Amino acid sequence: MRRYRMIDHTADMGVYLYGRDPKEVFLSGAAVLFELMVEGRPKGPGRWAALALDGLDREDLLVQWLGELLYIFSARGQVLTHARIHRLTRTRIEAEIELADFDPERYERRTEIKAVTYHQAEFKRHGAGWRARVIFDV
Amino acid sequence: MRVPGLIFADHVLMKDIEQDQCLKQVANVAHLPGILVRSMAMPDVHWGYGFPIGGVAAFDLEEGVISPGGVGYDINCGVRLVTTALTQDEVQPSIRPLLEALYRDIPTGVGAHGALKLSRSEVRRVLEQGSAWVVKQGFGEPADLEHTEEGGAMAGAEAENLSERAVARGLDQVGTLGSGNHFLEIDRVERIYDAKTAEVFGLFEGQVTVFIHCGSRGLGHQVCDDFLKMMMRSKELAQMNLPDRQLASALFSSTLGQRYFSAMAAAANYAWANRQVIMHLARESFQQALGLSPARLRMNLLYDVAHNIAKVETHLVDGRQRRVLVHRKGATRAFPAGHPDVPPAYRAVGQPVIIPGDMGRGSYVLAGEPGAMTESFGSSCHGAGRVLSRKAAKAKARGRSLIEELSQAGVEIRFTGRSTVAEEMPEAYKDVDRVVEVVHQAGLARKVARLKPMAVIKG
Repeated sequence: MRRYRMIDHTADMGVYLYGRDPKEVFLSGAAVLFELMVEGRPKGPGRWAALALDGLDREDLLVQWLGELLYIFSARGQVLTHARIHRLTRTRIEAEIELADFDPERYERRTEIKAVTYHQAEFKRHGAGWRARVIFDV
Repeated sequence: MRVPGLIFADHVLMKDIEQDQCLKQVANVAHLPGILVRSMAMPDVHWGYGFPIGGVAAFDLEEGVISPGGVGYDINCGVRLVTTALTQDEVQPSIRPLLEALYRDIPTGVGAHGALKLSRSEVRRVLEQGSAWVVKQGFGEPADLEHTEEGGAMAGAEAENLSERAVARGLDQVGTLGSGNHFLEIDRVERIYDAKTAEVFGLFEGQVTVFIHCGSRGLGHQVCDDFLKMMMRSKELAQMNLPDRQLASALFSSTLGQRYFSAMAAAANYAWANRQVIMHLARESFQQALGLSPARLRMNLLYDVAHNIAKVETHLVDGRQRRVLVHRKGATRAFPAGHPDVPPAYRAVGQPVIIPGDMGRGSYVLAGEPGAMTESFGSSCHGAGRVLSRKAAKAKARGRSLIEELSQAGVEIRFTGRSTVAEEMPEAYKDVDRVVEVVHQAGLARKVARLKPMAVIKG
């Protein structure tokens, strides 16, 4: 199953995320976010950390999940190398994320994503699986 | 809808405007509580988050809302124009070394770190004092503050209303240009339309000028993000029954509304400090690359305008003057001659309105007109506005050498991001001549000068 498809947006960058279940959609989102932001990433090992977030609904939770990962990269200079989602409901995610320090001398930054927005955010069943839509402010 | 919508455009611009969803967004904004008179869009409008980019809306201070989506993620993204005593003929032979010096000296692009590494307490001082604080550290002159909107610092800014995350993101980004559509550009004055105003502004034909376009960087984005989340979770929002989640708002008079306003003001001050430092670095690059003294260069700030902000201003509503909250998202303040908030040096002719176009074709300097006060809550357009998505721009650029095309058009470019040039190609933007003509004919701001790019640095 393809993980994502870019959406045409006049000013920014939109993406459809796919998964067989909601967990895969969240993991697709995390992977796509870093693919858009950096070229080449440390393969590990990094440091594992727990991450738990609450949201109002699936859309809000996804925006928060991606927003948290964006903050980790922009403010702390760390990239996601692996993620494991232990629990995911409509309003809560409990995960472990492996993070490695981003070395700008070795790896190239691509797009500067400034924020994960709620604009046109969507998370619903799609065919046999699930699909979400997120627009990034670039 | 509580009020009607109004789009400033001509028939050609309307064809593009009708292609994206910005008209629906203008209508959505008209649902917001306390909105006054009309929901408006400038001729460079295109779709954004909640409010369209190019949107203007004013609200009652007691019954109206403040909306982070009506300001934008990049709080006080704005532009300043610097004049010089130099002509194109004097600078052109040295344009490449000058461009290299600017590119070397001004942190540009994704991940760039600023000239100033601040402590948390210093960031807080920048948030509260804006440009004045960095000037005190030696980045510019006190006179620069007189020609900055709000004197480079909005009153009411409270650093304590920013999250620790927002402050952390601001520690090393003062004096950074960023990426995307942010830039520093060397232009020449190609044409003067209003000689008297041009003289007051210190503009002359053939003159070399410098544009700086950037905002509050990661700090501003974090402020917007933090408050959108808080407003989305408020009970008050659930009662507003808004058509778009990104219109999440709070009553301006509420505690949450006031906290956002003061945090927004603080982020706006950060952006002014950012542009002030970049201008100072540009001054030094010019001195070093051209071997000229400050007295010879005479690099003076014409004006600095915000185009993503919310301000409390006095406007005429239903025949009486009253204080209202004006949101400008991708729109520029345009106060006319005589307005007390126009700097004394310009009060006889009106506030300078700086309108960057695209990097190939041109930009403008306008002056605020009385029509802005009656028609658009003292507002004008902010630039050319995108017409192509980044994907469409890259597709259009395939097989072409844009650097070569720009060079043949007399524009030298230095950039960091590989896809930036294609994404920011001139054809990705509306025709700024047409956008400005609408504003001029509508009586919002009048044309003073047209500028043509000579060189640009982009992240």
